[in-house]
Amino acid sequence: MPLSRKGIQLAVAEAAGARTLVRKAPAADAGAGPAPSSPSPCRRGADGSARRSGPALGLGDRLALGAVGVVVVLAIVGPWLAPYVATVPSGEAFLPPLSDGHLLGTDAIGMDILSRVLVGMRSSLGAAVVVTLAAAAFGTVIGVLAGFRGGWLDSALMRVTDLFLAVPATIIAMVMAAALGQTLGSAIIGIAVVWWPLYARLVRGEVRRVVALPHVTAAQVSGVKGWRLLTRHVAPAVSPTVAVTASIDIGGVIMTLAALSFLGLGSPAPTPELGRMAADGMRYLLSSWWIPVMPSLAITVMAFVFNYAGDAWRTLLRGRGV
Amino acid sequence: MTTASPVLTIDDLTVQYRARGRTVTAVSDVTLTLAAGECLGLVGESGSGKSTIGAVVQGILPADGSVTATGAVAIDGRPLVPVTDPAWREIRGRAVTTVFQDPMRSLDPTMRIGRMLDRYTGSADASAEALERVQIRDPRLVLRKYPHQLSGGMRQRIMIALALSRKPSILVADEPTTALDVSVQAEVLTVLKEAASDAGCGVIFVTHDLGVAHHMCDRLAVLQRGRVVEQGPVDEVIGAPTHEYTRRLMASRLTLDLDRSRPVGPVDDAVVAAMADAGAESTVPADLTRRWDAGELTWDAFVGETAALGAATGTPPAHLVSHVTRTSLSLNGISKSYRGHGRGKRGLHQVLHDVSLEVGYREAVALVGESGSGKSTTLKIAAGIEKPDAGTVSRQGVAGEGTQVVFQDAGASLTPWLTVEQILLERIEHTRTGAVLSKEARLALAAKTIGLVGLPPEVLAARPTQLSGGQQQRVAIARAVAVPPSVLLCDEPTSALDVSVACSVLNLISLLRHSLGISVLFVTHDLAAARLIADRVAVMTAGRIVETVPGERLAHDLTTEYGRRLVDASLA
Repeated sequence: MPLSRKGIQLAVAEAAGARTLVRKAPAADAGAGPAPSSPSPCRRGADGSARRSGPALGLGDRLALGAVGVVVVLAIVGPWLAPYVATVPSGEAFLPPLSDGHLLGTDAIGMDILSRVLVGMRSSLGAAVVVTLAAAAFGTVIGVLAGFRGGWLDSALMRVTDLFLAVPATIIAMVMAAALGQTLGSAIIGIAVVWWPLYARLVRGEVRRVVALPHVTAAQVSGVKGWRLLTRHVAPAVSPTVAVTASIDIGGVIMTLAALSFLGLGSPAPTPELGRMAADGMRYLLSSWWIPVMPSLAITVMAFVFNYAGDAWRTLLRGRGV
Repeated sequence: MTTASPVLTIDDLTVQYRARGRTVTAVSDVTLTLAAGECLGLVGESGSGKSTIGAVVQGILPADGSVTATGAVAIDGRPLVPVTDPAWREIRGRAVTTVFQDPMRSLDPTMRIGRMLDRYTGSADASAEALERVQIRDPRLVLRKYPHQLSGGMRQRIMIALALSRKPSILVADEPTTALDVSVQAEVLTVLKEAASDAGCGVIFVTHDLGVAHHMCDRLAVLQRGRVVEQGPVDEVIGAPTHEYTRRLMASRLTLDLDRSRPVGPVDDAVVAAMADAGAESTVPADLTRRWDAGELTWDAFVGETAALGAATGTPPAHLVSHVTRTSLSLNGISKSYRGHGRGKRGLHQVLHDVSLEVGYREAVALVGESGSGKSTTLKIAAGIEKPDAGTVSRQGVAGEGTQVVFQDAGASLTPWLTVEQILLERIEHTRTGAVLSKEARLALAAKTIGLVGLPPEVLAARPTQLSGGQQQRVAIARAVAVPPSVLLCDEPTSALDVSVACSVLNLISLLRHSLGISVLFVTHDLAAARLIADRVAVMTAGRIVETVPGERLAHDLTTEYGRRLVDASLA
């Protein structure tokens, strides 16, 4: 997991600033600095918006979120921005970057690298989002079931989870490719199958932690139980953790997808896939470096941006958990 | 005892915190001196700045610009300018040592006591001597132990030995006994006082507890909102306080000879009147009770009719349930074990042995004991949070409505993202009598309940984190009594609160108990609070109830050795 639970707790603990809406006396112990137990008001509930105050985002956080925005927009509109059709040759082969009409040059058969990278970014990001959402959703369901119900169900689900964690993604993807054909879809399924257990574990741990908190006991004493207890008193504390983890995970999934594609487990050429492009271009690394380097750079930038934005997501979502 | 040369002088110290564009003044214009061998008490409630002054002396304020400190501080005659400059760390490291509230957090859990001490004393023999000075009986044995193998009192003694082994001129003790049981507290204070006095170092004693300060200090400085409002020799300040705030603090002290018939502490008459107003009694009508007594109604029919009555009038009848029985809660032969380390029977740690306790209709019973006595476990079993291994619990009332709990940490017991109104409504909806009310009636009941606990209606729209500790505890009480339970279970509801706030919460519980006609089981370590609230006090130790006495005559009637020890510790 790129983000430990401790990290999240720290992030929540950072949330400072005692608010004094109806406070009669200055009760926060100024001697201890800003009270760590007073996270900024969360934004749930009908009347919450009136008192909403944006979390203090630093310049770095704003930059990071901006970069994520740019990458996402680029990936979405990229194919329309692409100057050439990405799957057919559009000029001379081996044109270097900044050539006339080919900003990033052309590859070994004369296809425009810029167009291919733009199209490849969309499928890369799209696949990563699909994998992350699927894994987070499925893992969360399993984790909540295990953590909230406990007992034999917990043990059973967690052993299954462990089993899936032990299976290498590459092998699953290869099996899928053999069964379903060599497509991006096989790689997506392959990764999602090994990715959800991480969420199941994370969510189970978080749910168990939150269920043991006094406010949940107090709600139970008040007669709240079952689904309502889960959605109203437990889930809001767990969801920021899942959201932050998922947002950071997109970077990791992009890397893993690229690795599978690099190994030839994605869609076959000439479909533009960043990992595949890097793999195919490797043999020209010394003569025409831009052919493998440009798609690799695109992967690196995307993965970096999502990882870098992790702290910013945390700041945005902090105060919502406990 | 006071000698001429001051080891610490503080002149016009002002400390400000900046957080989110707001500046909070924690300490303003404080001037203090501390002589060698003297003990100066800094007394005040939370937010008074007492810990900040301690932090300035220790030099542990953050140096990232979020804190500004102006004024002059001199240690051993050496002025430290500017006050927060990290360059003074070294001087402070040698001259100032600290004993914190929680010794477990300040002792390195991976090191044996001997290794920690040897760094400062130089040899195992010297370390053993240092432990003897803090009255540890078997120093050689203790030197070989790790912190987690020792009790809280022992750990705090070791902290004192560690702090003094560096031969400081100033020892800062920041609430050093707050986390300890009362009977241990007195011993540790005596050890601290004697050892510091032998070592000839000045002690800055930070505390919220005037009684402890009286016992420990030579001089007192009373702080309120960052200012010293009164300063002088301890007997003068305690004996004849001149400032109004000091008098209020004195009035908030809980002692074993308070008048139980009236509210304690400085009482705001307007709030009391408002609460009494809101608490106009609503009871089960006489003819319904008569039909129940005559056996004309089944239990379900009785509850159904009273619930319908509540729906009609918009208010659930109070003491719906206790009304018809003499006992609200009874525990019979309760035993409980928790699984610790080890397998089978050896791994079981028995926390309750055959505990039996009855809380009568409209009766308040206090369960008193020190940490680990099993009093909180008893409460959890009474509330149904834990299941007993053996024995039976009988609660009068509909499932979930018979008992309600007020927890120690009110802030943590309120779901932080819900508004107070949502919290109260949820409770009302989940009761049989509340569920039949219309939406408007529920809202009205929530508003009425908030008035009942002495809070303004604006609180309904607030979230728990926006409230002070006292307000949070009132909200927690409001949740518990929105639909009155037959027994209100209170788990140390005041131990995390400032003394004056604690008084008002105790008053509130007493008031509600009488106006709503509910029974109370009050779990506490504080004999004085127990005596104030309860008709009967049960003393618990090592998982057993050892004696039960009337609250009024608590100090005289306790006869067991353990009971006497608690009384003596409370009197000290």
